[in-house]
Amino acid sequence: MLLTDFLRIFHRRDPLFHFHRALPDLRNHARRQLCPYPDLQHRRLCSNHLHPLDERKFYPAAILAILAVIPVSYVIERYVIRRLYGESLDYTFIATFAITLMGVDTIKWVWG
Amino acid sequence: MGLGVNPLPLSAPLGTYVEFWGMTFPVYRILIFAIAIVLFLGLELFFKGTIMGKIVVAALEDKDGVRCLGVRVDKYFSIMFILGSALAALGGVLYAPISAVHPYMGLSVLLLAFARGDRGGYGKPAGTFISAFSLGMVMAITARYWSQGAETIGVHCNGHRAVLPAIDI
Repeated sequence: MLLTDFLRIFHRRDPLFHFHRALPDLRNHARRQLCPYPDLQHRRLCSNHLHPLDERKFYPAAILAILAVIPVSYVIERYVIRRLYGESLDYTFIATFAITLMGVDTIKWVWG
Repeated sequence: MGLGVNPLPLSAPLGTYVEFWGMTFPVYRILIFAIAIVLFLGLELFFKGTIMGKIVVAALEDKDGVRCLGVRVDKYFSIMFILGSALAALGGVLYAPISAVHPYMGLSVLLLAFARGDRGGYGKPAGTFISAFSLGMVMAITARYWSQGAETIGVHCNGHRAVLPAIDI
């Protein structure tokens, strides 16, 4: 019985021991997870590994993003928003939010 | 999005800083603020000084009346929606180096955009600009002096910075 109890104690300590050994990995994992949230505390955590931005790529990407939005927004306006012009403004908001959620869910569905 | 859902933190395209009155300001933030003011003035000029802007403002007041004049109101509304979407895209692009690029970065701004649009008044760029600026200042000052309160604001408004809402007019 004593042997069993000792084994239980050691088994209980074992995960703690591994937990302490794994702390640096957990910290790195948390740092990676916290990166998308831009409040000050988290920004400080993820400021160490900012991806260097090439200015020559940033400005064409900005123009491309704006141009890419134009056909998408036309389709949304033509087939969703235009039907709601006579209604209350709340319906337009709800429709906009619904489209956003659908887009996010589509992203989750495709990329996980 | 082509890179997947993993956030990609970016450095600011203008990495320089300016010293003013003992404080350090990133040039990129100042550039964002300048772009917001230019966009605001451009929109004011557009709505008050062009035929298209006047048609849109009039159609917002009385859509059927403007339609009776032979104006295709829906076409102008489409153009305005596309213009608003393009400005939102510009806001997202400018915000990317401040935050990190990931597919869900727009969600966090959405509630703030609704809030400041509701406070400022729809179809009124001046009211929207002032409400966005004041909301951003409240959040920034709260974050400076009461970080726990800023955390609460961050939970409810998803924690965004001062200058961003002013971009998305």
